[in-house]
Amino acid sequence: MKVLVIEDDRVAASYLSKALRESSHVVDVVEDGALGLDRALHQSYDALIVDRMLPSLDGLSLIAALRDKRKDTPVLIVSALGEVDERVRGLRAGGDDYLVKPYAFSELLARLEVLVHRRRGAAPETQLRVADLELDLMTRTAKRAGNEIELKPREFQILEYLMRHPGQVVTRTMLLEAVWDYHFDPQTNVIDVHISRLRQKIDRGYDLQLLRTVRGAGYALRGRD
Amino acid sequence: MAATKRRSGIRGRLILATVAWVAAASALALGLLYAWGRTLPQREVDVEVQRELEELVRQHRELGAQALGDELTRRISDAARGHTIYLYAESELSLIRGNLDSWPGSLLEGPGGETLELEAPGSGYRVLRQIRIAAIRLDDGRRLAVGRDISEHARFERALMLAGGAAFLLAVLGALGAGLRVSNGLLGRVEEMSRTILAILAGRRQERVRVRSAGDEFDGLAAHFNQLLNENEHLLARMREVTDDVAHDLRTPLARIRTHAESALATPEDPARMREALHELLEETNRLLEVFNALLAIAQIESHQLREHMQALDLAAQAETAAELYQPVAEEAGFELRTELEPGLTVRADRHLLAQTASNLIDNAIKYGRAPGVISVETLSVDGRPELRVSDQGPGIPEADRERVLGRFVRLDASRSLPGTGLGLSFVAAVADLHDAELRLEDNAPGLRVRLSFPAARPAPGKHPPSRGRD
Repeated sequence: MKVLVIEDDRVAASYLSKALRESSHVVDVVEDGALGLDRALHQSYDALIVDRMLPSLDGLSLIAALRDKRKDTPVLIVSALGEVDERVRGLRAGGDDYLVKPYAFSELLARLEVLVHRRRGAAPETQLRVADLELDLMTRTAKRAGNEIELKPREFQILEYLMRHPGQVVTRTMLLEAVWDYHFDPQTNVIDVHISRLRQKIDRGYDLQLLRTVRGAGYALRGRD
Repeated sequence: MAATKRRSGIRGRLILATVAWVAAASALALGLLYAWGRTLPQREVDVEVQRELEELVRQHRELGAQALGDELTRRISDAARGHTIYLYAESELSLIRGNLDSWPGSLLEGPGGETLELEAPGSGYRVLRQIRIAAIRLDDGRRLAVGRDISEHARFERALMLAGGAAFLLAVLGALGAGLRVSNGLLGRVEEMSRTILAILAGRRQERVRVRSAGDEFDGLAAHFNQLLNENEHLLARMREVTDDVAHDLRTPLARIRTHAESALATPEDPARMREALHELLEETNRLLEVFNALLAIAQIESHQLREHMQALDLAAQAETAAELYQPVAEEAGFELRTELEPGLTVRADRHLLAQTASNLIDNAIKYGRAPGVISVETLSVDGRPELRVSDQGPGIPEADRERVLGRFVRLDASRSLPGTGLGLSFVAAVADLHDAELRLEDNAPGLRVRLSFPAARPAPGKHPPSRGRD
């Protein structure tokens, strides 16, 4: 995908663009807010990564101006301002996701891909499917190869989130936010145990392991590559 | 310098005001006294003169004009009455009898007396005498007057004036003295406090204002002032403690990061070891960030800026969500995580902070409890106050340490080897404080029981009923 990075910290920007290019994305970098807005309005990008503190036009105003012009490119805000109300302010301005600096690149990449794909599949779904795993959102039931799987409500939510982003990396923080609406890091890796229990239920006894751990990043639900 | 100037200004004004008030009050009192005292003898004389006049009139009426003339002659010649003036005149004012040369032109008949200034009768030289005199017209048209020389009274008046003046002067001097004394006394105390403040500003922080035994307002002020200083001192000490802790607890991981970076650089020929060092470096950095974020969060909570995010929440729903999150981890670690949740308890809280608080407490119970064992998460109402309880069956916290563990970075020796930032309970304590909740650590016999007791919910006036947890 094609990404515009609007970030005035050159070291951060060059690291970010290098890492994104290594993940085979096309990256443009702009260091100035007003220039960034101009670029975002007149060229077509799949996503924007916007820092909050920028010269000439701050990140939130930039996003607000963008949304004002009916430009709905997904925006990931990155900022050193990490409090919950700052996050809320960022999302209210029109951002689609908020990431606090410093962040792990894997986290950023995972969120970016989720953002971009969320935009594509807009129609409400009632059935989710990855390989032979099916999730019925109406009856709240899950089936693997036709066999019903019993899931607790939270497990269903976790699975639903993973299935809505098939093949994409989903980080622990993303799951905490999406399933529990928790915006802090529990000191213990609570998510891992939830995942391993879920894995027991959906993958045990099948050759193809769908729920995979992506080392150093998170998890991904993936059919045969 | 400016302070000194202002101080003497107050002193001058204070004294001036005191003196002015005393002067005004005593002048008024003395003036009234003088005015009354001055006319007292005159009023007595008037009564006497009137009585004598009436007596003579009666004689005239009963015994006739001749008898009156004789009586007057007798009275005039009487040496004892040297100070008395008698005048008996025809209707056209030619004198029949009298010890004045003539009927004074200014003398009129009528009730009451009047004061005349006349030359002394029978003296060789002009001496003005003051006469208090009353005149009357008799039945036959003649006139009669009786007067008394009151020149002596002027001396009394003068004495009265002198005494009054002296009293006034004494009062003013007294007021001046009192003003000086009071202002020195009051301002002395103020100056003493001023000196103490200057001493503290100069770095002598142990200085305190002297509290006297009098127990007056100044002592109250001094005591409160000292309290303030003690509180400040306490805060400063805490801040110093925190700074020391931060220095220690951040320097240690920084040192490790440095070591990992150095060892990565030292082994360029061994990519595997280098990778390992970098991995450790990253892990250590993350841990450091965790500590840093926790510190920032606590500082933000303690600044009490978050009160605006408070909303009515169902305590049980919040506790359940947190318990659910930790259930698998707890089971994996060999615990039975029991929940006993009384529904319908509403607390006013910041949802994120409440969620993190519940999580921290359960996290702690798993870390420091003893498996196999029970960890119980309860919500209940105690005396109308919603309460969140998390208990474990581990070693607990000795009573002596229960206050201390709420501090930052405090980790009891027994738990130092376990992972953790030492900020979990400080966070909970800060959240409790923000929500006016009471945090109590108790003996669960065995284990630790943490009780977070929220203020009794007041029904929101005219607002929609409290939402029952939004999760």
